[in-house]
Amino acid sequence: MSDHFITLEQVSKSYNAGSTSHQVLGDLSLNVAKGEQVAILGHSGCGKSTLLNLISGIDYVDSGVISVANTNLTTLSEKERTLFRRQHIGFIFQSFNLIQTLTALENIQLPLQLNRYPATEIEARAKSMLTRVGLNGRDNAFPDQLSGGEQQRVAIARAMVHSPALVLADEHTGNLDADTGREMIELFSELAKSESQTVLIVTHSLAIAKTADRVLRFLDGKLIADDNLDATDLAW
Amino acid sequence: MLIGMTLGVAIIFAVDIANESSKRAFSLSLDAVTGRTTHQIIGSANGIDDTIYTRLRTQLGVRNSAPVIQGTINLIGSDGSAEKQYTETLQLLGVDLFAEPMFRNQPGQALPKDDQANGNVSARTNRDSLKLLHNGTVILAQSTAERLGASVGSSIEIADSRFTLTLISTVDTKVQANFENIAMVDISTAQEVLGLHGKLSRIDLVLPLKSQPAPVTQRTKKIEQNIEYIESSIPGVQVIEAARRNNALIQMTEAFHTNLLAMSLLALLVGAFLIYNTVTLSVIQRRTVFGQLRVVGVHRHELFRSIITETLAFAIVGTLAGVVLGYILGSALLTLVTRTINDLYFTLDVRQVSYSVFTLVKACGVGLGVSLLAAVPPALEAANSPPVTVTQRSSMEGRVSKIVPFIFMAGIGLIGSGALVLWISERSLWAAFLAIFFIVAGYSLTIPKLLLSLTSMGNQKTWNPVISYSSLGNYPLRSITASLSRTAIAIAALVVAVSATAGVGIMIGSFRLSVVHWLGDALQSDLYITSTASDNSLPAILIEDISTLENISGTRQVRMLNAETDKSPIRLMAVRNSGTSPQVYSFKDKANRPATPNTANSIQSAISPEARMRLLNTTDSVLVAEPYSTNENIRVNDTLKINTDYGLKPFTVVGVFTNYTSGKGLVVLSMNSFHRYWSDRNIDTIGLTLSQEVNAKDTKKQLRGLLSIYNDKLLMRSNTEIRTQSLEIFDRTFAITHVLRLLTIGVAFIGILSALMALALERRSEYAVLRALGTTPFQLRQLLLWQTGLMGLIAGVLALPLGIAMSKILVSVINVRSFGWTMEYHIPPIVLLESLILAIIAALIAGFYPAYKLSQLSPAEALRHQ
Repeated sequence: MSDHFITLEQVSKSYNAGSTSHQVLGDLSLNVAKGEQVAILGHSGCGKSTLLNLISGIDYVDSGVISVANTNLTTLSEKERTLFRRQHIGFIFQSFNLIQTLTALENIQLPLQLNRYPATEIEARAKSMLTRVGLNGRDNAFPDQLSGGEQQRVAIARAMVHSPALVLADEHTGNLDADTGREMIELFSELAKSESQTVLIVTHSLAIAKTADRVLRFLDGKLIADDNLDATDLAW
Repeated sequence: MLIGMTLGVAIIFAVDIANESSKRAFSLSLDAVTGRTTHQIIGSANGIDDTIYTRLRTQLGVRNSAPVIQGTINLIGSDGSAEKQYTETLQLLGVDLFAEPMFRNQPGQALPKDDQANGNVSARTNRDSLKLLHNGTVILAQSTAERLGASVGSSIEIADSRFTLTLISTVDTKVQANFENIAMVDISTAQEVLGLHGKLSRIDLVLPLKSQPAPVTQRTKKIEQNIEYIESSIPGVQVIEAARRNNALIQMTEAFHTNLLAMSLLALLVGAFLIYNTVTLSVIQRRTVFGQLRVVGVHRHELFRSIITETLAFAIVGTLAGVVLGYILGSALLTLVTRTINDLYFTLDVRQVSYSVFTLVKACGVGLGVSLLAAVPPALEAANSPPVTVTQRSSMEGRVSKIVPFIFMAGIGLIGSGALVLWISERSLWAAFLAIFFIVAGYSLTIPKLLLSLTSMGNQKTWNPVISYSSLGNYPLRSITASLSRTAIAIAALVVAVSATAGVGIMIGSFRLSVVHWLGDALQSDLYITSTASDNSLPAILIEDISTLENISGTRQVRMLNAETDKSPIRLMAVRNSGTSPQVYSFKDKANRPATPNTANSIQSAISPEARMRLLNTTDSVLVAEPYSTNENIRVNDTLKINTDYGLKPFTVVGVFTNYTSGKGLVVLSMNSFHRYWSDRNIDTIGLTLSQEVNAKDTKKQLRGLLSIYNDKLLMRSNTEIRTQSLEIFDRTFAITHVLRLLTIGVAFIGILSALMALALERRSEYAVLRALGTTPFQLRQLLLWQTGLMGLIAGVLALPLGIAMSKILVSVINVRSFGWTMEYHIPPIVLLESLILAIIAALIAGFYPAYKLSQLSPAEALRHQ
């Protein structure tokens, strides 16, 4: 049994664009410890989001092995990967991706419903989470009635309400102004720490990366640096 | 989009051409037997004596006259093998070749243009036609001969007859289309085949002569003089206008065709919904592309033009494909329509599918017009929006939500207009259909508001029993209202289709129940004996033999004949009851007209059935079937003049009774009255009531022995057999409505399918998020099926009030105005349940493919392309 919470061994992934194949990740190996907050830094198209998709089991590798919480995702079926993701992973997206037809509270309830929590617990947990992200009283507001910052708060609450062991955030402040973005980072970081959750944040912002325990730098599908940001930020 | 347009146009075109082809065949058939005839001499119910014709030509000098015998025969054909026999029902037209040239032209030759237009059947005396003078020879349409496997010189058997006919010539129906249903024989052959020795069906006249051109007033005067002269010289005959007689027949089928037309209007409405839905969806689902085009500098006019041009191109292809599919569907429908006409009215064999330019233009117009109309709002909306909002679908839904209350009010207004039209129009069938159309269209407009109201009940936990089974809570329900612009239209199409199914289902159910009750009343005898001989009469000795049987407690003797009246032709039924033969009429008291002191047999409105029967048996009075009473506006205490063997005689109407037989109006009189005014002494049906204590099987056996000596010319049937057979015919008659209802459901089904496909496409990224959150492909499939099931359930629930309203109008207004039938109104709960289930199943089946496609969704790819 590995000590690492996430392990990637020689992972490769390519996408086909017409008749040509484009390698997004090549022979990538890395480990992430439990409770660690890791930022993945790189320019657009360097494979950051693909890495999150592979770790979450949304996408599958061409070759190599990915293990999360001692589960080898590459050997699981589509359904098993989905059930694993549902239970152990929370996802936050750049464009919030809230379900427009559901209220803030109902959006937060979704992961609990999917995990078949009892109805009373669904209600209590979702309301408590809504309060924790500072949206008390906005239960019945629909996404289009919320500001960008409020929507992202709901998205954070939805990702963490079922206490997943791993939270993946893909450019989650990309659509927010600087102040709101900073606010979100603090909120997210605080919540994750309080639950000892492992966090992977995809970003191209140095400021956000700075808040993480560790930074992985990507360039053209390759991991070019894996260290503390303070030592390398000038070189970037 | 193409499938939607194709199906929409196809269903409209199919119903139209089935309707039009049968109408054309019916009209040709009438023309074929009428030709250029302007007037007809008709006699009493037994036809007219052929000596009258001789007298007419020789003594009265009416040279422009031709004797005609008309009847129906079944010719037996085969494909050469003895096992496979084929029967074709044709109109037997017996003519006198020497008198014919004035009336009908030469077979096989192209007709002069005006005759083609009139559809005249020809029989000029060329060499082939002269062979008709040989007894037992026949001329058929070439296509008919081919189907019967007959060639010139071969013999053709007649079903249920000892006669065979020899084919001497064929007529190309491309030259003379109206020959399709005709078997033309010499008058003497017709008399033998139909058993009408010494009798004629009628004498055709052309009045005035073509060689006497005269001003209209003088011509009219001349005609009147001629008619007066003939009627005064020959007692017992009546001269009527040929057109009037044909009109009576045309009117009979007109109601049926109008009903079919109404079904085609319904198909048109649902078809238009479908086209609108698919076109709107195709435009809306590419809003992102249009937004991007606007961003890169495409002008709004250019965008509008390109959307409309593209829609037009698709519409042209879809419409053309729809016309082809409609033609194929219409040919299949034609068989059902023809069968219904045969069961209800007239022997008709329609082989040629035909359509008018108007029908074609109508189908194409609807296809192209509705497509363009449907494309205009979203195209305008896309073109007029600022580039950024074009890419936001919520802007469209936002506008839709704002106009929902106005659409609702417009709908209520239309429903009100429909009710008003129904109320102020007294007898107009068209007004009734217009009212139904208003009500259906109005109700469709209320669907978005009703949909919102129904789904908002979810917030009040009303939907909890339903949605608690969904793993995603309110999501399926909310998704329906979130895309109101398309879900409402798809649901409206399904509501219209399902309500039509429920409405027609309730109407047929009510009708069937009424027919069952009526058959129960009318078929009171235990056994019925009828003749299959050509003149339908039972041997007199048989009637005597039966009356001596001990186990019979009562008999009912019936003679049925065609007769003319001062109004329209009737089916005359003379009856005589004896013994314990029970009362068989259910009287309609509403048809009573207030009694007038001047009327000899005038009766009060509350008179008992027994008193009516007493009057029928003792006075010159008749009972009139309800349809005839309604159509001719004849009520109790009115006088009906019937052409008897002694000329027109007045009969007082003493009762109007329930009757669901169709065709000519049925008029009943007592056998005593019949014998007083007609010389006919034949009986064609005898009903027997068995004594209660006897064994029915033994009596039947005894009767069969008695009947066996008549060489299979007699038929004995129990009332159960007749009832079963009648209900079989009833069910067959309505087969066409089942097919049309299924087609309508099919079109609505495609509407739901296209709406769901578009929803699945549009919500791709939303579904990808759900997959990322841990929704399995199976759950995603379930989710869409939940959504479509809910749409079906909502459509089913909303369809019920409209269905019930439609059924009430069909039963209480349309049927009365079309056929003169009133019936019991009965809502079978099973029909409502079936409609609800039908809506859910249709929607669920429509959801399978989009659900399958959704489960194949790659979340990574969808999120990457977000």
